Amino acid sequence: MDGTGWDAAAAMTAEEMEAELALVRRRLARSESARKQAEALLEFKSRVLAQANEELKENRERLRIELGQRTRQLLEAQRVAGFGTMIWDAEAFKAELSPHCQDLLGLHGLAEIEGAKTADSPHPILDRVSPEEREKVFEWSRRLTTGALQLKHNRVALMQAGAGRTCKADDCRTCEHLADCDRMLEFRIVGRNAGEANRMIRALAETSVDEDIGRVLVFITVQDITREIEAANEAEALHQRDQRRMRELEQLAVELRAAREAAERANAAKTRFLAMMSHDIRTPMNGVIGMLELFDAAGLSESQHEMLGLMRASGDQLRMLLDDIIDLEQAESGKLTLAAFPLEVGTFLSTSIGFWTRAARGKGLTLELERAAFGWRGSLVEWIVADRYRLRQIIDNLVSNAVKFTKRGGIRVRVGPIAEDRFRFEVIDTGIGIPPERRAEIFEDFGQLHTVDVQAGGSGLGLAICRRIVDLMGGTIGVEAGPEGVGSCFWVELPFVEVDGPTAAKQRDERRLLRFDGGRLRVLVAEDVETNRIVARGMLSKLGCDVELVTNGEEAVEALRRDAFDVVLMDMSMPVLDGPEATRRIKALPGAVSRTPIIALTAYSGRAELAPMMTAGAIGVVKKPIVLDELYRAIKSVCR
Amino acid sequence: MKGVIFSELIYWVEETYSPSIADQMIRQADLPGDGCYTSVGSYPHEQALAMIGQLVEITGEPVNDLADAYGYWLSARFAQLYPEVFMGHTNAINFLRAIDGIHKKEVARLYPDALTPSVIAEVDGEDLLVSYASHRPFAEVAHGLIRGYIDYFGDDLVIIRDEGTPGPHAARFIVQRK
Repeated sequence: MDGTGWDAAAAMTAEEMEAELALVRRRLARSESARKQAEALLEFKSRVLAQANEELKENRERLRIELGQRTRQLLEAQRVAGFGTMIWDAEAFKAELSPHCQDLLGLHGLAEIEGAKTADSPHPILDRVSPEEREKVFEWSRRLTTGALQLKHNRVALMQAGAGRTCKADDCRTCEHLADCDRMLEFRIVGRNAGEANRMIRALAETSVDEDIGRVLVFITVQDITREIEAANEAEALHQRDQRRMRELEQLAVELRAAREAAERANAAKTRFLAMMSHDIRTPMNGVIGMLELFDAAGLSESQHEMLGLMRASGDQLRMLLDDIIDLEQAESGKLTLAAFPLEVGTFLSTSIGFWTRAARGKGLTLELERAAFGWRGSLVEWIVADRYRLRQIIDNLVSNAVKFTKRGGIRVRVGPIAEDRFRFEVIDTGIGIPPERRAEIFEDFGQLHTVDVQAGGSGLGLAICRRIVDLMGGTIGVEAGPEGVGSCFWVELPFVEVDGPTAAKQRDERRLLRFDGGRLRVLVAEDVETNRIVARGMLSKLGCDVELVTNGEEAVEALRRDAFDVVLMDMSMPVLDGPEATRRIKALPGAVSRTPIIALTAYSGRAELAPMMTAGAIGVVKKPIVLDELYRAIKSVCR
Repeated sequence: MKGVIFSELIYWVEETYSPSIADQMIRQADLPGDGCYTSVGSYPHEQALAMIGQLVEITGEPVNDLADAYGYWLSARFAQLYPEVFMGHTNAINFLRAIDGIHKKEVARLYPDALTPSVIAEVDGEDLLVSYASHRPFAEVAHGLIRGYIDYFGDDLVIIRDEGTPGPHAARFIVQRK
């Protein structure tokens, strides 16, 4: 303290001293009070801090437990799903492996590993990879590393470029680099111990940026696909086996077809031979039978008379057998043809059945003809187009068989329509019947039941010939047990075309006749199926047309070259030359003939199927089965 | 308001005038705590206004002059008390532009519930416009503080109060080269 201070203090009065002291006391009291305030505040703040610290600790513990739980759940999920994860930090050149990943790669207890520097250097993962795949795995990891580092580099460059841009595929080459680099890799881990099997591993990599730590990480999932591969291999083996079996079966089918064709050829040859023989035998046979007819029976003893009768009967039987063989050969070689003429149904049936009345009576059997409805409302038409001879052949065969195989009772023949254009006839006998298992084979060639063959006689070819004729007519034939299980019921169902009889024809509506330039219309029909040709001819005749029939497109073209027609009915699918091509050729013919209207004759109904004909130049369509009205309208419209 | 403003106010009066004037100011202001302030506490700003009012009575000086002088003194004290706030700043303009952020951040860290004034500095051509707004009428103290910062950094600047601005709760100062 300097002199001034002392002087000042000395100069103070006691009163002043007192005041000064009071001031100092007040200041001290304030300081003391402020200190206590500060201490109290400090204590309060400390308590607040301590509490906050406690809360922080609790929070941290809760988070730690939660993190542990989540981690365990994640690892469990990985284990259940059968894959492990590896997080590759390219900058740190280290990978973190999940426990299941360690198991899959055979690296138990290795949660963190460094990257491999070369493909040859010792490395926990590469050491487990099959030797031939080490280079591949190393190269894959190298490319992932390069990609990740490049991505990081690009991001830094972008950040420095500013403007808060984020990495986009457009300006980030790394993304392209990664796209190029296959994200998936499959390799084999070799079992090290005796009990440890090799396993196939599939690794899938995805590079991503962890914004929180500012690092680029490659997430790799690792999955055991051994079973998947095995299943695929098994499936492939099964497929191969199936293919092999398929080839064997195909081969077998080829062989079977060849064998069948050979058998068919042999059979045809046999039939041809038989037919030839029969033909050759028939000539001398006719001589023998003719001579027997001429033989004068007068003056013969009774036994000689009987012998002559036997000789004549045997001769007739032999001739019938020869006829059957020739028919069969014709059917097999496709030479069996059908004629088509108007036939009056009633007269035809009564004549045909009546022929057998005598034979039936001779055996004490009844033979009846009855009209039946078969559930169809209409009645049997009067006149149809048919091949009288072949139809008679069928009836004769069935009725003669019935008479032949029936000892007691009788035979009923029922006839009636079953549809607008189909009829059925049944020959029902009370004979020995046919076991169900043999019903199909009796229509086969030489299929007559052997047991009865001897007793009943016959070639055994009758039913086979019937079947072939019925086929040719577009019908069906079959046999079933007779009513109440007695005898047999042979039935035939055939299509028919109704025509006007000679009387009705005179009365028919003149307006229904097709006329062209005042004269009869000349129609060319090209159709390969005979029944259809017959039907077409029948109908066209009914419409008053002159008809010429050909069996394929080539014949149609030829016919048009030769002759003029008013209209052509052209079937679409025919052998040799089909409808569309024939139509094109006709359209290309020189002169007026190329303008002949052509109507497509088809069983198809779709536009697409008809297109080839229409494109080729047909101008009308008639669908099969042909309906008279439609045919009339179609021709009328094109010949106007 | 933060206790440091009160404790420094008393300290300033003691230093600038005398301990007895400070004592007189406190006693005349008739304060609830009898002028006991700790810098870590918080007190109603009306108590500071009461003290300055008494100081005007005692000294006869205009209130604005006193507030400005206190602000100027306070800037130097802040540099002593909180040197870390000034670190990294080399001139007053730079410091004033950062002050709002620093002030709010530092105060909020220690006193989350404190209401801080808004001190926004914007560059306007060559000038710096500093806007003060607060629910407390201490615009003049802010003027003194800015003046003090300019002198602290030794910059060749002058501060002008924009007379168009309303009063003690809000003011705009133009800091420009001399």
